[in-house]
Amino acid sequence: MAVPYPFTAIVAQDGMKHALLLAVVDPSLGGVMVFGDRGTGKSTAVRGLAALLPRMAVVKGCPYGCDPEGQGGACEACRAGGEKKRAWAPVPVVDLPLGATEDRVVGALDLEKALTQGERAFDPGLLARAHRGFLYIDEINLLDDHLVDLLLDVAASGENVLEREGLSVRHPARFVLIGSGNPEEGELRPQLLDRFGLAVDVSTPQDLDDRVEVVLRRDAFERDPEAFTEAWAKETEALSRRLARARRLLPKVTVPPEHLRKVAQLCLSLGTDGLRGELTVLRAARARAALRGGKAVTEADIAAIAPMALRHRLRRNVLDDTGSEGRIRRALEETFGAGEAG
Amino acid sequence: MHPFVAALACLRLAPELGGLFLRARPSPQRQRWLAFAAAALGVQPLPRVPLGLTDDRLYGGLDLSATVRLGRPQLQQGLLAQAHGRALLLPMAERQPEAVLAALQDALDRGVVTVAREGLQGTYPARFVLLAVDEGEGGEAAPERFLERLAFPFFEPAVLAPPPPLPMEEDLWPEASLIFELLEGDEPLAPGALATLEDGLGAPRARLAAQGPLPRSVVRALGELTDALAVPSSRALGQAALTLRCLCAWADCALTSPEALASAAALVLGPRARQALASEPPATEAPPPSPAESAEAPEPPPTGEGGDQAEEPAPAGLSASTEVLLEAIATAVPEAWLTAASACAKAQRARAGRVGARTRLVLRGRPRGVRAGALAPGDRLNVPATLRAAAPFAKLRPPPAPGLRFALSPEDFRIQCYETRAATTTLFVVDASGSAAIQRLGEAKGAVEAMLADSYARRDEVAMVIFRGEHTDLVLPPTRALVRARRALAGVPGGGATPLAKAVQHATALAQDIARQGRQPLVVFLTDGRGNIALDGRADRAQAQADTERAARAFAFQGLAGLVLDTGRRPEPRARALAEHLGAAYAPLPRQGAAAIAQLVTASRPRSAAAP
Repeated sequence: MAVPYPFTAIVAQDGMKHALLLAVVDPSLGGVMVFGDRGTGKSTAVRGLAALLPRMAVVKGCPYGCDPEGQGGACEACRAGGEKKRAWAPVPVVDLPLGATEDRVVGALDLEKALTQGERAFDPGLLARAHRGFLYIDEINLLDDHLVDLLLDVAASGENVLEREGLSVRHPARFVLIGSGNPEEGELRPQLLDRFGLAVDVSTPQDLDDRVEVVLRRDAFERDPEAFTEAWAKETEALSRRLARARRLLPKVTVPPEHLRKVAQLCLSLGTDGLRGELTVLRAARARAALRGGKAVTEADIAAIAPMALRHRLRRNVLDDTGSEGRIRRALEETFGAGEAG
Repeated sequence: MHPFVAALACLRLAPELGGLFLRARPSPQRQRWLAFAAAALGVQPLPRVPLGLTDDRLYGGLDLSATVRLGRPQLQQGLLAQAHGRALLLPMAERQPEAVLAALQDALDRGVVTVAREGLQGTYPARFVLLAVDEGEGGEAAPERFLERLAFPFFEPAVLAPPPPLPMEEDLWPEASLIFELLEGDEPLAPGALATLEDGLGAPRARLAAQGPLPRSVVRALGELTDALAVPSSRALGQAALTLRCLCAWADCALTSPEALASAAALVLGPRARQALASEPPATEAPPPSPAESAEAPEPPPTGEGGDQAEEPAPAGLSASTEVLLEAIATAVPEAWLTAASACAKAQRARAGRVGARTRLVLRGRPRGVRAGALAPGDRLNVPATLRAAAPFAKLRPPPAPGLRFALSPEDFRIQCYETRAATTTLFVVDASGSAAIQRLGEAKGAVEAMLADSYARRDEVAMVIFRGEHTDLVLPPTRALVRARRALAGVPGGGATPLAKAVQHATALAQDIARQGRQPLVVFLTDGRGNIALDGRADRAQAQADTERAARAFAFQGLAGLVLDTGRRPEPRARALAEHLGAAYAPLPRQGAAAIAQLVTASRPRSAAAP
């Protein structure tokens, strides 16, 4: 594909950009769900994001792009040992296209080999290509339930297991799931929402200056993508370095014990289901701390990420119209004392 | 210059503008417009997107006969990729299934189509101009998020009566204008006439490529117009800016030309206006050529020579022209357009929230065995089963083509079957009459929301009809969206008489509609069965009773599933009788409120059926 629109040149949409960066710093956060209309720059952001990441080392010739260093989740061929050659590949960003059939998602029988050689071979699908990268699903609520179940299962287990058409395959598929959907067009299942680490809203910028800026930059990009990307190269590089530093720093970020308690208290007062909420708040807060170069999580970190980590986990009270965001703000204020918690 | 000619002139230079949208019933005028569009786009005949298009024809899929013959997967390009560099006609946009619209929309956005189907994987260019024709009257319209991809909307009044000309200088594309006039006059076209169209394109194309960056103040002026006209689309601003570029390329003028600016706004923003321009629009008094220009926005390097362009316009010139601009647009957007546009918007709102229902494909779901038979488009071949079926005959048949191990023939084809669950639409018919109305309504609303909150997995829909006074009202059309339901149910009134017979009739019609869409209707009546308004609207208790009974029997005759929840203080014999006539189950209204109702309804839902 052509040059992606630079991530740094996206106007406004700070919530979405922030959430995506956190997911890059800590891929174990569990992905990002973006709510909003099509055409608010979601897929642009995801594609631009990939350009920020350094190329990754892969085992040469491995269809799944296994890590030559990592033993744990390598595919069968790579686990078998033997000579492994190193190659460099960009971090994959796989778009789940509309109308994709299940066989292309999970992989299927290699038709050509079956027809010409009568051989039963596995033709890896999109999940295999997304391994160690990002899988982006636009309009997740348009996707067939069956496929959604399947994707969630793979995303959670980090492994694609196929038992069909006489094939028995198992390969690693760890990716950051990024979904988008429009709540006006159908409710999303709570189980599905819960699997996403973070959830953010995007909308068209209301501010006229922002909208004018969007059009001007887009126009400049369309007319000369290379020159535009070049003009933004400095920002892109700076952000790229910041991300790399944050990733190195992440394992060293600590959470002060009093904050641990506060986070637990916060989730308790909001009545979030399960432990996933608390874990995500902690992880996201650490990722934010790493992103700003801090060694310890602060209240400000927690306050900044709590809405996006929790808003989709609140028990929905059908008779209460208060937005989840408002409820979280209130709970934050109660937990961290009066005044602006951030 | 005629706006339609101008729109096509722009599309010809910049297919990224998406296309145009014609909301008009069939008429000779419309026919001529389409014929002209085909001529101006240089595509004759215009390929159409037929109704009932299957996914494999749309995206592309496995060409089975070629695959079997050649022994390797062969892609048959779909309509989207075939239309690349050309144009597509989308007739009856309002009737097209959501899956087709989503595919078109994706191609319009990205200019490519990605095929990931049936063992094939690839991305192919698909940049085309879409001519969407919408024949919806009042009630139906293609969804807004689809139509906003198309830069130029034209509503019926503009097609029937000649629209006001654009404030641009006449005849930017004289060859096209001439053909348009000839077609209007029903005169035959000279054979060479179409070729002349292509000749005129070279110069504006070159000028478009050489244009400099868009001046910020110009985009800002367009942005303010967008606000002043209350244009709801977020894309309109970008489309207007690109249209401006195209018009300037045709007219060979600077990007700051007030006429071009007014024309671009009239073409793209005008028909999308949700409010008429006030005679003295307050927002646009002082168009700000903002001095905060330079701050953080790095100026993209100028592309091309930008020869005749002033880098930034003289701010004074634009200020003075804004009044003119607004006036020009106001004349270019007659009142009738505004009405047509808002009718379209209303229809679009009614359509929202029905997405899930329409995207269900038989191709998906859980695999459930194979069957032999002819391969219809959209079927999926089960290769191992097919090879197994062919194996016993390998020796009997003539040897296969070189390179192939198997001699396959069509009768070996084994087609994968899938099981999908037919989803249910639960239609609540709520008695909102009398004093108990408020509480009953509250409980019914609660039940609707409770059901929606957990209906996602089943793709179930909920709808609600209330009846009171002399009317029955579909307050909530079938939807799966909780957000939407909550909004629709917010201000539902209660009180008044009880037109039960009418409600039963209305429910019967709606349930039949639902069944026609391939969903299973379940009608839940919340009433005490004491109707007091006859079908003809008179307050005649006996007549009302008889009418209700007749309507209920008609309901039963259709074989529709129903449930009567008796809302009386104690079990009401008439509610029980109603249930009997309807052929429906009967239960007293649970005392525990909304959640209990939802539970009861869920339990009495028709059994899931397996689709072939």
